[in-house]
Amino acid sequence: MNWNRRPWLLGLLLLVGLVLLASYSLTVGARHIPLPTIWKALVNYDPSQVDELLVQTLRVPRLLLAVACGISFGVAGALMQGITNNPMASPSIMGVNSGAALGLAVAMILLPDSSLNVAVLFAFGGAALATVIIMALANRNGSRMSPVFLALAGTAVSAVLLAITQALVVYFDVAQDLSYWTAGGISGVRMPQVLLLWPWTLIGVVMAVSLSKSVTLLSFGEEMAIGLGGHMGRIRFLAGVAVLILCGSAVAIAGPIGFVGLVTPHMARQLVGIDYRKVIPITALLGAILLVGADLVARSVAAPFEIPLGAITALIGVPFFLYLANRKGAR
Amino acid sequence: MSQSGMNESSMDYSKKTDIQIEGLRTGYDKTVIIDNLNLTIPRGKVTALIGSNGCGKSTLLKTICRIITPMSGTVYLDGQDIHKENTKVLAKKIAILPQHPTAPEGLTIRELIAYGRAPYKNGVFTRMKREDRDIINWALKVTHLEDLADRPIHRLSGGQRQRAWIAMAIAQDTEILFLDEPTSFLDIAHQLEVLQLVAELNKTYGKTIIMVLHELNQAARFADHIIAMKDGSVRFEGSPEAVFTAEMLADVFGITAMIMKDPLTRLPFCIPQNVGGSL
Repeated sequence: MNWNRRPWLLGLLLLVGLVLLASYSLTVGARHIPLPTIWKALVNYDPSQVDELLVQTLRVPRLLLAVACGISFGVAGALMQGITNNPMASPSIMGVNSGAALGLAVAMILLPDSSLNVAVLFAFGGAALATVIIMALANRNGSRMSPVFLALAGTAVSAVLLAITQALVVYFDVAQDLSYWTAGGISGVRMPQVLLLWPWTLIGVVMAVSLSKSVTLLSFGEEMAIGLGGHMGRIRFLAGVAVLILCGSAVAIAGPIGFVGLVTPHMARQLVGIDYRKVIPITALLGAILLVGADLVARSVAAPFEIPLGAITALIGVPFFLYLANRKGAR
Repeated sequence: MSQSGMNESSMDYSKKTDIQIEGLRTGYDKTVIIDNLNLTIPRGKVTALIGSNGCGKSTLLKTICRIITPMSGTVYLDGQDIHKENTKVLAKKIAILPQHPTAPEGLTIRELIAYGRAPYKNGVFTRMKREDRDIINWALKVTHLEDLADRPIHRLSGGQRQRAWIAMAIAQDTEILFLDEPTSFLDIAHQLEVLQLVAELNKTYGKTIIMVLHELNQAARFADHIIAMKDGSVRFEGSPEAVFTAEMLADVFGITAMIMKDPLTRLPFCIPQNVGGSL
């Protein structure tokens, strides 16, 4: 089936799939909670019922967080692959997530009593630092780096930023706060954090969609994109801002969950082609499905213990990364 | 200033002035390749930039069509500084075919050409109009790609692919077309095919063509105006008859050559003899 000509139908199918998966995910946990109870908790909440309390305070926030993070990392990855014209670009590989983690560590050390809002701003700053470093590397001499070289450079930047983060964390003794978080775990999340994240996710997605036409032009090469009336400086800047809004906010709440932004844009392009007006919305839906699914696995494989979400996505992402690196033309 | 209304799809490009280049200084990063260059490029004609590798002809082409921003100096198009004008407005006046355009996987010829209409769409989700479809069909017809319209680009031969890129560029419906070495990596039949297409675009549709060419005799045959460059400056310019001299070939390319007249076209062509030295 050629989804290229029916992006709306594909989007609808994915949305239905997401709703079904999400509904099932809400029923699974230390206690099985049947769907009717979940439905009642959503439309007619009674806090005196333990099951409904569980749904409202634990399971729904967690689900909404997984959805928001899936959208954020997926869309950020699509933008990065589009503007660097590099299939191996993604927030985790290029060091953006590590930058955000560093920003957050700095916030915890400098302002230990700060609100989450302030922490998110610090994460933006860290993500921006990493984005600037990578973009400077990618555009050096105006020549395009080979995909693998850029990925290596990004991984190196990422490693340095994480090393600094670890050093700061150990030295200032905030390790306990950060260790689970840096593995990409979302179990302790509550509604206020989720409500803080969603506006940023939506802003980032709106920016990404409004840039999508220009990003598509970049897949013909920079010179062609200029010839077709693309404003390169502005597109790169705005896409960079969108990426750090998406990654910075998601990392601040959920930790650096890797590989979602690498894998989902490829799946979306396989389905709907190169037009980013379709790729970005489809990537958002795929990212959400992937993370809701991964969270389900993370909770149920070794119940009652939980595997960090980042470990599950790495399990899918690393083989995929190696496959991309070995493809013809990657070097 | 902007004469190009949104719906200017007619092929009437009269009353345009030549492209004026004044005091141009340009290059890559901090390396100056061209300094203090003054040049006029005629409108409505085919102009070929020639010169040995690294002489700056590609840099000049890219600066004139705004891919490279010059360090100083000005390129005037219809009295307006090209590097200060809105890039989207310019995209309706100038189309560019770079030397190595990248073709995203899986795109068909028709889809590729449709992206040539990008400068005419304002919103992100603006739909294609009837006018866009007409121009895409026209571009397919002119480049003789009608039968291949739905074939993916990566399944085309080199010559077909180059025609597809030219079709995309002309779907932009601009009066000026910049081509950076449009014949490189093509075999001789496909080179001719592309150059004949270029000639047709100029003669039949009145387009101004500015291209970098490697093959001297092709430049002599297909260009009305030749600009010969060496070490970042223009050494010779004018009609093929005026530019094609033993002196030019010795100075610009460092070769000795016999200049003959093509008995059919009456245009000059050269037979290279030696590197350096004299006849």
